Amino acid sequence: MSKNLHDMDEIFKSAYERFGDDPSPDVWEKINAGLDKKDAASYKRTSRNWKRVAIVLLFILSGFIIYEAGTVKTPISQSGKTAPIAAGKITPDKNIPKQDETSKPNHSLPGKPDKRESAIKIEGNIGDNTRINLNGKRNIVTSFPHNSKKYRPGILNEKVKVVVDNTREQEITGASLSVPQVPEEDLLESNQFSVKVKIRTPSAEKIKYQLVNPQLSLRDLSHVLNDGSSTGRTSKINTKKSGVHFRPYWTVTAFTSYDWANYRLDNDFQIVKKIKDQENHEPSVSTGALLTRQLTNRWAFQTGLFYSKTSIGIGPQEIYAFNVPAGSVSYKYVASSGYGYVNPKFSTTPAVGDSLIAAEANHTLEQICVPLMIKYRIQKNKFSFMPGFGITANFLTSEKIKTDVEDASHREIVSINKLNGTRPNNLSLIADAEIQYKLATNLSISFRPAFRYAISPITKGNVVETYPYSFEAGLGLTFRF
Amino acid sequence: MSLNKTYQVLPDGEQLIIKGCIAGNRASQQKLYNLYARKMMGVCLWYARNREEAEEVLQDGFMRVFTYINTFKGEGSFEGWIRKIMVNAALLKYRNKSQLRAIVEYDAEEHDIREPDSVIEILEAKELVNLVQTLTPGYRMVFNLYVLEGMKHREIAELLGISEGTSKSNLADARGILQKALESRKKVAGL
Repeated sequence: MSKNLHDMDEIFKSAYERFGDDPSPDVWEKINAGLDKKDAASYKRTSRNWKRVAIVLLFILSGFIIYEAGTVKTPISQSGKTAPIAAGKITPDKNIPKQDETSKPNHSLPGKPDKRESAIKIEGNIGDNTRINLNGKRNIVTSFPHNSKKYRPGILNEKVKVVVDNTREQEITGASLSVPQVPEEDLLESNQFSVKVKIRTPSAEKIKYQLVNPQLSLRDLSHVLNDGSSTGRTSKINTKKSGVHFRPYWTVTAFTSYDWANYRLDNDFQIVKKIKDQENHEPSVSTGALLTRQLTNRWAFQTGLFYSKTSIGIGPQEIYAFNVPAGSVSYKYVASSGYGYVNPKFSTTPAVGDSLIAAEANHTLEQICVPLMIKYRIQKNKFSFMPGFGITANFLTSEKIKTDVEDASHREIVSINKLNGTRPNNLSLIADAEIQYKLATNLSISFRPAFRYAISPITKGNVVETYPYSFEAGLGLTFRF
Repeated sequence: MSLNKTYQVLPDGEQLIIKGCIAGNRASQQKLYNLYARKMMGVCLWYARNREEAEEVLQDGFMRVFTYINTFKGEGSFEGWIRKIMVNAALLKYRNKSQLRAIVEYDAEEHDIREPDSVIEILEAKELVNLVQTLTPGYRMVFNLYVLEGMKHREIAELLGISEGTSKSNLADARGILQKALESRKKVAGL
């Protein structure tokens, strides 16, 4: 019995090992659909994770902004009070206590330089013949015969007057004082600036002076004055502000950019290749406004709103009739961003599998984009370089395809104004490197190269998963307020 | 790495396809399907009641292949690994104790399988498949797992959630039914 069983078993086993049969074509279609569902679930999980990251980033940035906005720093005087702004007048700060000449070291010649911090106190704008009080009882006063309403750097004065013992002025012939080389707003904003002080005095008279306002160190000044015969020695004085002078501000940049758009497609290799061969990106454009909050001298937060239009040319192709979910039969046009159905008037109700020729098509995608970016500012004179990085939320507002369809004897222009298989919004990473040139105090011109890359697809349920990216070159005007 | 395990060296083309499948590349997945669909359809037909059910098992089986392909470590043949997944897919579909439990306990003395005639060898494999498909699900599962997969009754019982006695009884009944079917074929064939 066992031998019989063994023989029977062997025959069945042999048949099992050699037997094969072709399944119907439907089986792969069902497996394909199942894999699509699985991929969609995986993308959904991935995009959900990225959305969580974006939300956390948004909260951190918002918290940072709120924290910085609550700690706005203003210029402070030695007395601790905010300096009043008086246009066209420079007066000594009466709140600053006068130094007792006997208790504090003088900068008599030759003497050791006063190591206390001291500064030119400037309030508001400088008008004509303004006196700047540099010290206390014994003064060096300069007058500036310039008529600018704004602070203007350079060698301004032609006469240097010295007030001796607070009673009389004595002009030092040939002496001159050059004022700081930095713009007014940077005097308030910078922690550190260089002041070139050039004093020429032909007189060997000893001049006693005392520094009053502790914001600018004039220690080198005494060194120059010590040498009565010095002519035009330039001393570089480094200063450090006793208080923080940076005041956060807003800027708005209106810009337009030319975009080189493209995309990455994911899915079956054959379908990806077919679509890529048919489609060709055309010049695209973005325009809008960026709102920047300069939080510190270096760091800024940027958001805004801009409109982006992407154009794609699609080559001729044959389109086939399919069952539409609504129950009818229509010709299906498939593109990288989605698919739509067309029913030309010349065609009676087609049967599934019927085909038409679609000529070259123009496909446009329009989006409204909201960026959230962190920027870093590096300033050199009138130029600012501001690289930034962040995310963009893109909201699809329009997706259209326009083409001609024809059969043997008819031709008609058709438009698809709404595509299926698209997502209403997606996220992109964005990086830019803005370069600004200051035209005026509150106006700059900017050049903004940028790169955007989608981290979530713009399609859902389409034959391909589409991730757009673009290189952008924009020009804009920046207003500061 | 155990010295007792054997590792299959796959052809370069197949290794690339497997790598592509692990990466989720659809073209690679389709190539793998095209390579093994025919053979695995044959496997599924042995376990299913009819062609439609066999295709369902095949579909489920390949979905599981693509999901778990990254777990294939190269131990044994790749075809054997896929075949095992197909069998598991079939078992998942038919795992039902009420179908598998034997009506009576197995008594070895009552079952005497007579020697099959050489007509068996003449029958096409397809006809043998058809014969197996006529068995009830319980008999078919036990017969296939014992005869075709070479499993022991203890393993079959554990896998199907039945007793060893039920497994033996189902096998004996299955053989008896197949024997009778073969006999009648012999008469029809005039042998």
